[in-house]
Amino acid sequence: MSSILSVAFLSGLLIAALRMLPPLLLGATGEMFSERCGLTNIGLEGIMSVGAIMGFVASYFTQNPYLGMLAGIVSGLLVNMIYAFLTIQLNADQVIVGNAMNILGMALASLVYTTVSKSQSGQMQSVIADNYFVLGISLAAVVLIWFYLYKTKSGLAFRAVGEYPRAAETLGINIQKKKYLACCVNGILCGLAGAYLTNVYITSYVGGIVSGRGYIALAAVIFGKWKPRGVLLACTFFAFLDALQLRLQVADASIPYQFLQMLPYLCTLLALSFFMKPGSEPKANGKPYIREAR
Amino acid sequence: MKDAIAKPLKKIAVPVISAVAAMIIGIFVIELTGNNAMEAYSYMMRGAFGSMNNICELFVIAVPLILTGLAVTFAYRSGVFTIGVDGQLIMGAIAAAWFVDAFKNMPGVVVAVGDILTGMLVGAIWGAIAGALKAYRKVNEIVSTLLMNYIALYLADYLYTVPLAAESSKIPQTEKVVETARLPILVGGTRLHVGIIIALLCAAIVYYVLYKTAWGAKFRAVGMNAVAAECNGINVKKYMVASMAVSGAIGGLAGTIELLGTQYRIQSGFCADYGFDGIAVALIGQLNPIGAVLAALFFAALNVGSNSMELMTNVPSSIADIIQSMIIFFVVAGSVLVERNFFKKLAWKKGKEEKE
Repeated sequence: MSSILSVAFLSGLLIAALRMLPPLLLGATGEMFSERCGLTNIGLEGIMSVGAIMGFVASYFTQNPYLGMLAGIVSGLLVNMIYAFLTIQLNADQVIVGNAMNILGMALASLVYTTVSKSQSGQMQSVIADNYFVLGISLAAVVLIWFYLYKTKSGLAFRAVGEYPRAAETLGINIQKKKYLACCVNGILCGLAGAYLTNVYITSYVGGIVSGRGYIALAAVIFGKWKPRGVLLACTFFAFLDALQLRLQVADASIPYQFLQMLPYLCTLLALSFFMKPGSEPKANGKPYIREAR
Repeated sequence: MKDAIAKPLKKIAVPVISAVAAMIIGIFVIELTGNNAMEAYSYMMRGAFGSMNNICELFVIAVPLILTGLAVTFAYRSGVFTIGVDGQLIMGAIAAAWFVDAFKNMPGVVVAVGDILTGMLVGAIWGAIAGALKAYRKVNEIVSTLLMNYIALYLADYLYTVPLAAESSKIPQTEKVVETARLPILVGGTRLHVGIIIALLCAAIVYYVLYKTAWGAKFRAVGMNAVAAECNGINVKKYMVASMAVSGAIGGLAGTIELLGTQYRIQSGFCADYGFDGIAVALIGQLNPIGAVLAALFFAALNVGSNSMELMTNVPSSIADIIQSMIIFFVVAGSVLVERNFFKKLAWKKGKEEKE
């Protein structure tokens, strides 16, 4: 027990948590932004996978991790346009489309990796980028999105779309434009989150590298009550749990680390069921907006 | 009479056209990876249907897909949009693994039957929790089942790593199911077991309950319009919980059958996303139990075929998943077009012309 409370352990934990934070925070912020406009996207895991592989391949060939991250951003944006088109243009069911995005993203990542690695000899490696660079970007993203949502007129309109799109439309707000904006931002942030994993977190690619981070990000949005500050706190908490869990696996095998892995989901479920006031969620979240319907 | 043919035809048209379109996209993707698509597809066909052994393997893979597809179908028909079948499957399977180990000295048939009931019960409880949270605490079932999937995954991970771990093995896994309790093999020399009959029977029962009983009609009434159902004296909350319990029981059954018939032990990767595939199966089967069976067989063929394609060519088997996701996109888009605009507009035009 004493080894757990030592200064070295705690500082190590802090550093590890800061390494875990950016992908969670980027994904959760993007998802929060998307849900504030009424679009629940459970396909984060898939988008992150695409960002991870494209970011890795670009970084490997250019030997520049920042170009790699740019590739992750662009690919995340592009792949999320499938979701955008189907849910915004065709009003398709968001959960089903999101689910298919996960299947597509993971399959695409595996396909690209096997195809590229077959043509290359030896172990493929990307170049490591600065950890705090991406952490800075993700914190900036939270602040910017907070500013947009709460301090600008356009942000007010954006939130109105997520609460009551019919009223928003009668005020002359272009609903589709706002929703496409939501999807673009979400795709960009998730793409970067994926590219972070293959350019900062580790410098190679392994199958399933996203390993559920997309789903933890979804939980963080709910746990953070769909608010920037809440999401930031939720992500920090979950990142600490993740870091702690990994350290305990190494330090002390007698503690069942699976329960720590479970905690983000359990906390969110309990909070949602018993402690959260109803009405935190944007009212039109997850519902397609059909203009012709009454 | 014309409607009696046109309606089911319209329903079949969307998934079939979607599958064809997705396969065509698959051709482009395979060519992009620098391989010969026609060669790859022919190996895929041979892999799925080439020999008796392959066809049997196809049915083995189809068993969990049929069952998870049915679990999703039942819940969706009752208006509950669960994505929690994975969690129910793994909870059912882990309970079954405990049961089979605890009672391994009893006669095989007793153990197998008791095991299936245990798995179904635990799956039902796991599902009913999400149903109760929806009915009584207004927790969105998509969110709660998603969270509960991960809780189940890590709980099962702990259980097969510590309390239920096989003593003699180095990697975390449960004890192998005793031979007497395993499901009998149907075709000698293959892995095809009685589970396929159980799955098909289950599809028939779900169909019968949903469409031929008053009980099923009430479930569907809740699914179609909860307010109207409430006004007609149906206890909507009770039916929500019950529909998740039934869905969970089928999910638990899927896990138990997979344990007793195919994998015999639980270790990392036991579940292999069968629950998520079940959503696709249910959707492509147009939320119809018989459609789910057909869709599951199609997915199984795609899976088995792509695995042997990977062995014979340079094309990775993940192409099957890409095709699968494309089918979902096309079915979703197609159904929306059929329901909302396309056919309605046509019918409206036709009506106008007839009037004139």
